[in-house]
Amino acid sequence: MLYSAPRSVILSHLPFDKTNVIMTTSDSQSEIKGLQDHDPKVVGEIYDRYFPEIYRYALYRIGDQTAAEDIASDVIVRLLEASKSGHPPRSNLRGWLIGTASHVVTDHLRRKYSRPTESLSDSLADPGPEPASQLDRRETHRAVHSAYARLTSDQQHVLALRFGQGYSIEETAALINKKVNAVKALQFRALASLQRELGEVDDE
Amino acid sequence: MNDLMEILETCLQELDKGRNVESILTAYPEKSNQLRPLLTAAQRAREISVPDPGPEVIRRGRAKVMQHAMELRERQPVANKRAIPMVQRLAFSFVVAALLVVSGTGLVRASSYSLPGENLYSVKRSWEGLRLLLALDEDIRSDLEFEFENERLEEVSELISEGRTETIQFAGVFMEVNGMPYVSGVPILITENTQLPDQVVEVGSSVIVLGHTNKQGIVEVEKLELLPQGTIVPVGSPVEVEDKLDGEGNANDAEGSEIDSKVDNGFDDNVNSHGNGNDNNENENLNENNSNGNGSNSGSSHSGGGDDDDGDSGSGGGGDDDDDD
Repeated sequence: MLYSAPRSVILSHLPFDKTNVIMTTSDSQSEIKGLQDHDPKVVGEIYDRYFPEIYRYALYRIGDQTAAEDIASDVIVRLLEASKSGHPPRSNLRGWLIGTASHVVTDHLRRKYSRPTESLSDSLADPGPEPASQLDRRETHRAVHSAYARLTSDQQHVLALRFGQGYSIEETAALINKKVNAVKALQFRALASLQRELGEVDDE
Repeated sequence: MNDLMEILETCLQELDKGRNVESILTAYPEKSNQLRPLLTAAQRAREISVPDPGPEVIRRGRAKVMQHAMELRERQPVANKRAIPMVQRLAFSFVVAALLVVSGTGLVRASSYSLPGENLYSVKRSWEGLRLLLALDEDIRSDLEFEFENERLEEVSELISEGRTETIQFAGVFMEVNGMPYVSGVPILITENTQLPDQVVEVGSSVIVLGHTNKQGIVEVEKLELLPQGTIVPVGSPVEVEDKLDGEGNANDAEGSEIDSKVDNGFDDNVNSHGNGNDNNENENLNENNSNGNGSNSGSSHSGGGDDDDGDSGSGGGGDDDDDD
């Protein structure tokens, strides 16, 4: 199944140069044309440009390297298939990819929780002797992941973009096709929830 | 509340610049109690950010994506190449429809046994084209396409058993028996003039063969194209020689055994000629033993030990040796 592309983002309202993060429409379109032909050069360039980013996004959200790897290549394969079936992203390729990655991650988590095997944080654990400081850091990571995993999808999404990927508030807004103020509100609630969940983890 | 969201964003930007939480909060003494936990949470969220994937992960993902892109790219031209353009299809079907009105369906029936190069062959192909055109359902159309691909393979088998020279095109599975190339049981000859795909054609790949049959009963290949992996193509009849040979041959045999082996005799002759052309005497001997059918025991002397069972069970002569499996 293919996810529909998010509506194209209006780039003109952005107050600063976004070419680093959000491709200009013409860039996108020349790449999308190359994608429709499955030109190996274009596919390779798109892969090189976006795969690491999608991988980090997926890994941040699910904390499982193997699954993140599968999801990242799956998202690019979906882009190829969408282009072939005549429904390529019209602009903002990165937004489309991140949006699709978010859907695929949500699906993955839903399936994972419908047949739970191990807790999210367990998959990060690597038993074996290690220095106490490293052990502490790992414990902290597990606690934060565990708290993060209890947030809503939207909250996880905004935190992954803002703090996992390091996008600015404007970049995040453009990627998720929301107004900057709406993202500020979402970020506020997400951090408040994370803090609350962290408190509860500490109490356990 | 809106103010607090704005201030939080300003503080986060300060945090990005490397300032610590307490020094940022000095600017907002009244809100510091509300802001402190949020900024701490932001720091935690940043701490769990992950590094870029390693080269191995990138390489694996790249291979997967490029493989998929290649499959998608190949699927497109194959479909286009084999489909007749819409306008031509319509013109084509009008001609056929007119022919049918004039001559009735007797012509179509008569044409159904025709082979490439014969007068009625174009009627046969037109009728197939018309049936495809009228098949609106995707499943029915792919069933028909498969049926017609089988028909192409049978035509080639008949042409080579009659030793006729005709231009042909058919799809099938690439195999090798005793080092000789076959496509779905049809012996093929690859020369230096043959256009081959860039990739290595592996045994078991689905391919399209363009070429012509020759008097020796071999298809001289002008062009060999790879079809995307998993494309369903006719498997054809088994190649007889490998009955007494090892695993690879038997695997082909097993595939072929599901199909009616009506052109077996033709194949034996063909393979003989093939062997002669390449001075492969052992091949030739094996073929002779095989074509005798009951001569399996003498055949086993060529293929080493452990074949006594085969010799016993293979006494059917010319049939498929299912006991091997």
